[in-house]
Amino acid sequence: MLDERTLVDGCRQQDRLSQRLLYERFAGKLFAVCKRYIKDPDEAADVLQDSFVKVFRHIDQFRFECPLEAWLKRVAINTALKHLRKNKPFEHMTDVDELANMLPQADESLPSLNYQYLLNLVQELPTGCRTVFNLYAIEGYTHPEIAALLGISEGTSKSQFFRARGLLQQKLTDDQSIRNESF
Amino acid sequence: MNRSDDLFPQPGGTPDPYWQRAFDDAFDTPPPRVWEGVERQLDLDESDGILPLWQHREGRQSMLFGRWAAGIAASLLLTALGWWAWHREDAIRPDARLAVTTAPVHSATAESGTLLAPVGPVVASAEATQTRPLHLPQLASTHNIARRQVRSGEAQAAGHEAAIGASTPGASTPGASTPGASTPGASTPGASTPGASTPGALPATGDRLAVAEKAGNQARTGSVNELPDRQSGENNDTPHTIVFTETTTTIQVQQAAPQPATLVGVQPSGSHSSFRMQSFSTQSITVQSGFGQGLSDNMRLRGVALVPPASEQPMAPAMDASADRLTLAVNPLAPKQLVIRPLGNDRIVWYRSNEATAEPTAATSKKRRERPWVSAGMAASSFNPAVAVRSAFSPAVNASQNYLNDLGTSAPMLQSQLGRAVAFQAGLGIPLGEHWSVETGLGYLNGQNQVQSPGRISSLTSSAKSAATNNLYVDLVGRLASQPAYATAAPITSGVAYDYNLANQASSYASSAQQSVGNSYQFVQVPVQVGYELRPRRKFGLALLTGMVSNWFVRNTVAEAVTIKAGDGVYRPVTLAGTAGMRLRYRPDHHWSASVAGTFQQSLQSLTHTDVSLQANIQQVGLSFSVDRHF
Repeated sequence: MLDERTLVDGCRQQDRLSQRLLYERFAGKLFAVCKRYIKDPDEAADVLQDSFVKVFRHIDQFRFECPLEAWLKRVAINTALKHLRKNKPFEHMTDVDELANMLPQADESLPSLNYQYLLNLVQELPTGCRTVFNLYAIEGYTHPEIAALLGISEGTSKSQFFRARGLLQQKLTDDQSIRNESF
Repeated sequence: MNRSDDLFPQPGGTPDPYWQRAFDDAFDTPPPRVWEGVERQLDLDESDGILPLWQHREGRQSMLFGRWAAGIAASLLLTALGWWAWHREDAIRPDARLAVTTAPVHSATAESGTLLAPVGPVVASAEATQTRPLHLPQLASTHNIARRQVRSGEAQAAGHEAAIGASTPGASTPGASTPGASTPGASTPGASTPGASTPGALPATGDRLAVAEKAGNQARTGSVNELPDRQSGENNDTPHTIVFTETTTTIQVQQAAPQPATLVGVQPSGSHSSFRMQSFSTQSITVQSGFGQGLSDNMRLRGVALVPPASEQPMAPAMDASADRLTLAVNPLAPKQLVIRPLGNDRIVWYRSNEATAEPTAATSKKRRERPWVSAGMAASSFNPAVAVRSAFSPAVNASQNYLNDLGTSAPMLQSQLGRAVAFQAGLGIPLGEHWSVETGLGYLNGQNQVQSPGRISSLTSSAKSAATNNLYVDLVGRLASQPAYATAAPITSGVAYDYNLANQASSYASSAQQSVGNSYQFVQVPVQVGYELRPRRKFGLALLTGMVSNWFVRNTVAEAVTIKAGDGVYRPVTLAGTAGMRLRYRPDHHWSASVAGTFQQSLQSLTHTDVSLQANIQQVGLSFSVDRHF
């Protein structure tokens, strides 16, 4: 298997085989990222396509200052956010700072749940909540960073995250109740 | 922080460890179309240059050079192709494009209602003019006559015959018939007309059919070109059209007993040519040449339907009534609209969510800000000033025209020929928004063309016969401009430049002494245009331009001897012209771009003053290439 540096060098030379190998190696992971942000699988595939085109166009800017996968994921996230902005989903998001002070703690039962179930949970969130939740809880962006990325206020970011956590916990609780009743 | 971090910032916080762990190694197989789409976009991307065959692997510098070289080469190629297409002799010009269809016309000599009764030799003229269409295919569609095979040398077959030759309806003249058209009575009285019987007078190659027509005492020859027809042979209700380019044409239609219809073409070399028409289920006709060297074998002619052979299918009465006389008619073809297709292949959006619509402030702030640009370039175009004698000065002009007519010619007094022009331009573009822009600039144009002018009769016998200045055009222009070189020309009334009664002057003019006079116009151009640009690709822009151009007249050098300037009172100092065009722009980086534009310019007013007996309205069609610098 070619190492990342060789792959990147090949992509910089616009070698189609290297580009294909890079795609094969990371397309699955990036597609999972895209599906966390974009609910519709076809749209997520479009975003993935745009992400890789952007990667190959800007591969010269990658200087191995971070892992290649992390950089690729950031490109995919950025492309997904750009795609989301077209539909302007962040307009009516609630800006209530008080809600941000009621952020719940992390749910420690998550590791026992599989990926597909969690993905469905996240995808069921409203677009604004889903985006803020992904950026904050999974990617690790701060609320000021999220506010800058999405063009919203910091309070809105916090409130959306609070709302997302509440919806997720409610859904997890409901599903847990159903499972317990079934057994 | 490097530039990639600016584009794709790193997170500054700490993710939720549980959620991050849950999605950290998530994997979802994408559909195969994703890679195909990536490849397709990469193929269209800058790495492949402008031309698909032009690969750049050596580095950015050589890539840039390669793109420019390819762009310049493509521009020159397009210019050459356009120039060639405009100047090739057999090009179908708008003023010479005629649609010819044929239609049955009831003939006084036809025995309508009697299908199989021998009609006898009926000679009907097919009058081909440049303004009348003729709908002969209706005949075929009505009676399910679609396809007929035309063969040469079968005019002698008995039965129904229709021959196209040179004849006046009902005025057959034995002895003058076309060889091979041996049907009794088939005659070609127009055979003696020059052009109708002159060997080689009807050039016809490929799908071109040369025909001849004799109507009254006028004979014309011409060529008929088949127009492309996507529904050929499938839609019998649709009249087929062919293009008739007139030179001098004589068409003869003969009809005899109910026999296979025969279309007789008048061959250029005097040898006999005829076409036998056979019925088929479609309206196309296969023509097997009988034109000798003029026509190629197995050429196809669509849209001509003549009388079906009686042995193959019955004929309706209407068919019979119309079969004996066929009339050609000529319709001006409507120009086809230019189809503009978007560049590249955009991805199809299959789904759009019903999210609330409002533009976030960040997205608004990140909108690309359009910047002004300057450009420098050149243009090559056709140049037609359409010089003519102003009709308002009919007394003097008519007198001279009558004089010319008395000399036995009906040719126009002045014939302005298509010339060429080269322009050098500097421009400035100011964007008004994402798509709209206003553009202006400054240009220098040099246009050259030839004017065919009747020469002075007095010069025919003088030593100045060969001089290009002894003609009507130069006399008019030179005298109007008070050029001393024309002191020998006929005098004019002072202050009334056009008072130039040619018929009464000693120096009258004859078209038989035509002279070609060269003109070299020079203008300074100031265009003001509005543009609407689309960006189907990030680096490509397609703009529609329209506006006005003020042409500042500098000088015109006539016959390399007379120079008329703006102050000489002949040409207006400034004339306005309307312009429209389409520009393709390639922008490899933020500051530089190259543009190729096709432009059309039509003068809105005469180039000359209203009190001048000459008028000129400039028309230009061309291609320009420019390099743009964006700020």
